[in-house]
Amino acid sequence: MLLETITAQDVQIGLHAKNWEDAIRQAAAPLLASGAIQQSYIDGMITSVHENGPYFVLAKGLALAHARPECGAVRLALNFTTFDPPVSFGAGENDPVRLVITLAATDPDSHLDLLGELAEVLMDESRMQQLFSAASPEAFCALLG
Amino acid sequence: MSARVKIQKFGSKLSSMVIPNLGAFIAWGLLTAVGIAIDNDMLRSFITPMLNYLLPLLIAFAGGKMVYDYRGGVIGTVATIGVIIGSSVTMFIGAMILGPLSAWILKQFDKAIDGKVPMGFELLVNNYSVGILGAILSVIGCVWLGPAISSLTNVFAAGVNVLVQNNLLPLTAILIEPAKPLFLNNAIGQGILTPMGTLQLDELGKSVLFLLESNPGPGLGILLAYMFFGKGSSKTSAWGASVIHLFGGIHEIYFPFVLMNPILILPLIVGGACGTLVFTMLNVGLVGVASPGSIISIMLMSSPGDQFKIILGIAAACVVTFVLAIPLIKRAGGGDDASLKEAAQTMNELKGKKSRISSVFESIEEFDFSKVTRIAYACDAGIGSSAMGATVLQKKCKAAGLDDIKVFHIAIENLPTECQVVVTQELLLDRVKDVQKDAYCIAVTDFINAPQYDELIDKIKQARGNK
Repeated sequence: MLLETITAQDVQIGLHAKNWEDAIRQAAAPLLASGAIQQSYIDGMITSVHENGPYFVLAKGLALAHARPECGAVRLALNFTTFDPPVSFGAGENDPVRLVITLAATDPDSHLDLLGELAEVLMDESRMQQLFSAASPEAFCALLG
Repeated sequence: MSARVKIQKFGSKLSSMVIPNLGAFIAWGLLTAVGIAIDNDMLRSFITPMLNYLLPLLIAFAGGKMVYDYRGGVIGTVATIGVIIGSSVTMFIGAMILGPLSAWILKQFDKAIDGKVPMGFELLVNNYSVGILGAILSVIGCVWLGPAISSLTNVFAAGVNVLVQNNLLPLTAILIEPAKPLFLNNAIGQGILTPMGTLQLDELGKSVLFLLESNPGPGLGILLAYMFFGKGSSKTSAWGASVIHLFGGIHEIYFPFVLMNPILILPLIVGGACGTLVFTMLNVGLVGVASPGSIISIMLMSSPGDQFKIILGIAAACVVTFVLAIPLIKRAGGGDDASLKEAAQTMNELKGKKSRISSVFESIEEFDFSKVTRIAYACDAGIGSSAMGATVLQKKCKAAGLDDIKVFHIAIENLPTECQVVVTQELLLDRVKDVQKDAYCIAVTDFINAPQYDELIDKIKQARGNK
């Protein structure tokens, strides 16, 4: 699975969330609906933040939400959700979060090429800003590719 | 490196294969001693499989792991099964050779292909490289190494035969004592001494030949020396081992103590020779095979009136071995202790600096960045954040021309691993430090644009430039 396989259906733009838990639930909802994850995977992500802190807030405004494969990841899948207004994850200088990337991975290695491509995009500060403020799923996908 | 240091390093490698497994040797010794003593079939059925498979494989695993972590352990164990299957004697030497050697071969292979495997195929390549190399090495072990080591027994047996024929009994110790810890003694005991002893039995009514290999004196001397002058776990295990050895007659229990410090063969030889000399001078003998070589079965088999003289011979062997072994054990123990202390001290220095100075990067003088080749990127699950961070850092290393540095991601629960630097999220730093004490830890908040990445790369380049 590579970034070019991401379509507008994998992107949600400008959602409103009450708090970070709600944000994770909303961001993961499409993966749950498509059967890529089980409900327990969402609970796993939230529990993990309670236990370890919001360590998957990777950079300023960006969270890579995920749990362990055994929490209920059915297949490798990715979803992008932007929030407006941004959501506080209690992540200090990386707050508030504007883009939540939800990752479901079934083992530690199979998604590495995907993450590699993703990293390429995210290391580009200006592209990341554009992603944050993309107006539509289609525009978002265009920025990825 | 001086020869002395080299020998000590070699010795400490041997002991790190043996010491972690002492418990298994003791378990085996207990099961064997009790099984034979109460003649219990269930317990006796443990003896051979444990001795032939469990113990050598454990040693092979420890040897492989020492060289190349868990993967090394796996391939060492796989390769060693070949030499076990290909041989008729217990394969301790085989395990001690093949365990570390196959791990080393795997390490070279991994180095050669590093960076050439397409992303996402690492796991596949990792498993098949161990599988295929392991299978090949085990066949090599089975076809060549196993039989080569087995044939050593014939050499030993032939030598003993010649000495016995020429009435040079005390000199047989030169062959018997080294053969024992290598598990090559059965061919000598059962192949030569027992038949020849039985012949003498017909002539003289007793034979001293039965005592040559079953004499527990030399082994006891070694164990006593460890009890009083050993260090750490070898000292504490020597107590239990000596009981199993002397009364249970399971001589194998002292073999690991010799394997981890092979120079102890010398006191064993001299002690064994002295014991045999006393036996022959006092003209004692057994009326049958004493098996196992326990003080109890020896007493039971003693020719009437010889009991006390035999104990004298055993004691002579024991005392001589003990006295000669003391300086050798002290020397090895002292060396290990010093290096341990040194290691502990360096670690304390690192820790002290780190806790005093809040910024992780100010303790740099204490850490040798030029040696960094493996960087672990740790997070809780080991799949998302750490994978992303590792990818970014690997890209940066490559871009900086540090092609030989491998950045990999890992779940904290799988630490410690073989690496010099661990990068992790700030919130997880304490958990990382708890488990991976020897590594340099870096905490980041931004996995993608962390300024610490560039700082780390600069430090490594600088340190390498200075070398």
